[in-house]
Amino acid sequence: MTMKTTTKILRALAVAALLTCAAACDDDGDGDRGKDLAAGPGDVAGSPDLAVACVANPDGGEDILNACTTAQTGDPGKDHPYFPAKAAGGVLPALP
Amino acid sequence: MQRLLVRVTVALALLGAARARAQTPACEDDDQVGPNRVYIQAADTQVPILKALGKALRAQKPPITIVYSPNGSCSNITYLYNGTFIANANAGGTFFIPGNPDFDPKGATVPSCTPAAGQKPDLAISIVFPDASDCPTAPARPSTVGVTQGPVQAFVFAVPGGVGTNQGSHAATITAEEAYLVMGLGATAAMVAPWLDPAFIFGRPATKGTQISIGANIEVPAARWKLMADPQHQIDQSSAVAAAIAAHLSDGNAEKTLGILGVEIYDLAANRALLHALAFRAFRQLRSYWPDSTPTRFDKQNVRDGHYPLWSYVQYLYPTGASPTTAANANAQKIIDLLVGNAVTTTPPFEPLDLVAAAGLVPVCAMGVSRSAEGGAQSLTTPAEPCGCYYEAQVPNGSTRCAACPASSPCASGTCRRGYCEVR
Repeated sequence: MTMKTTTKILRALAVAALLTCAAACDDDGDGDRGKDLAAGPGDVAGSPDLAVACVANPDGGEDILNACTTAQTGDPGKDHPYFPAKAAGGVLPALP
Repeated sequence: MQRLLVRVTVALALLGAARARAQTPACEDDDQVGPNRVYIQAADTQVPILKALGKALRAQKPPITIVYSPNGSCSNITYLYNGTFIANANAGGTFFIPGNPDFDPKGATVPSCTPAAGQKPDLAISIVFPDASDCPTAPARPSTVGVTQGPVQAFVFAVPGGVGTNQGSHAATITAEEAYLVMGLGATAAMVAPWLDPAFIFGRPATKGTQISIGANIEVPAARWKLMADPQHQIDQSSAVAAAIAAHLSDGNAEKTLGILGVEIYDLAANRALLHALAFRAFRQLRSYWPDSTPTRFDKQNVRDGHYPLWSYVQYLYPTGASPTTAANANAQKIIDLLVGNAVTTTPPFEPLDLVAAAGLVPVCAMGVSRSAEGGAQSLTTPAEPCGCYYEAQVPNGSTRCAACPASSPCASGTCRRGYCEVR
């Protein structure tokens, strides 16, 4: 097995791991496997924006907001994890 | 000679004013206004549905005449609790739906009338939950006032430039964080481009449901919006907000301009021709969505399935009659029944859901989510008698992928309702 082939296999495994996680992991890390995350309808499998996934089987709350849909989405430049400068990381300043 | 001319001019002006007053009939006038009147303190976003329903009710036998004053949700609640019908001078006073069969609910000027002193409202319409959280300055609800929850209305952030015209603002999305900063800190301090100038930010007084509901979703209570310090930018009527936004379509300030509207107002053809709604990304949401599945449609798909959380229920409040859930005025109860989808006999027949759908509202039977507080978490729900397929087909330019079900061919699955195979 050449070094080049090994690199290819490692890359394939990394992509597969990412896809597996996208399809089965819970995005809030609470271990709830009842919700299935999937690449969004506009995503190509293995595309770099796997962070913007969708919930295949929403059961309430945030899952509903992020459920998979065929609806058109707005400005992709404002998809998560975009936040305005004064709310970096989504942390809001107090109201005056 | 000059003095004489001035006197004549003043006299003519006074005469004209007197005639104008004389031409405004008393609301109690059966002939000039109409019989079987229902006095409604109406949230101003609900005026389009009142016009459409009012015309249908004038054609009924016996007819019902809707008399309304458009005002803020929390003001309407207060007036009903206090048993006082108040004409909103800022909105032009009190209006009635005429019996003229040629009356165009979408375009015609609605005639006005003068209510009698001491007139009591039969019905108040709020577009937010009538509780102390949404309306902190309203008194407690008397035990003699009932509440019935009705259809859903969504709200939008809107900017100049008609849908699909590529004119005006190029903005497509606002996030909850951006909205929090612009409305809560003020445009200058927020530093959210392109909405950097408070002179071009338009909202509502704190008693208005549109601002209350959006405020609950962006965590800026209506009374704490920065524009509360600037009366010129808290506009009384939704239609005037739409006009204020549209006024900047071509003056070089379109990108800076931002306002809020109820979807009943936004969905009017005249407004969609000059404005476009922004997609909204809520807190903890990954992407932004419009109320509809695309900016050009009217299906409210994202409201109905929970992707677009800027919405609330229309709430009908009334002095109770025979039961705690029945209006004392039977005609007011009929209006409520028609708008919430209860079984009502109409003569001549019409489908109330068609009016609701055409007005930009979503009947609860077409909703896949529900919530129990303003801006609160959404839950999945399946209505007892769903109408989502019918709704999709009935909205302007609507279509549905549901199977049609003529009486002769039953549904392969689900239940045939109003000509479509609904999920149950």
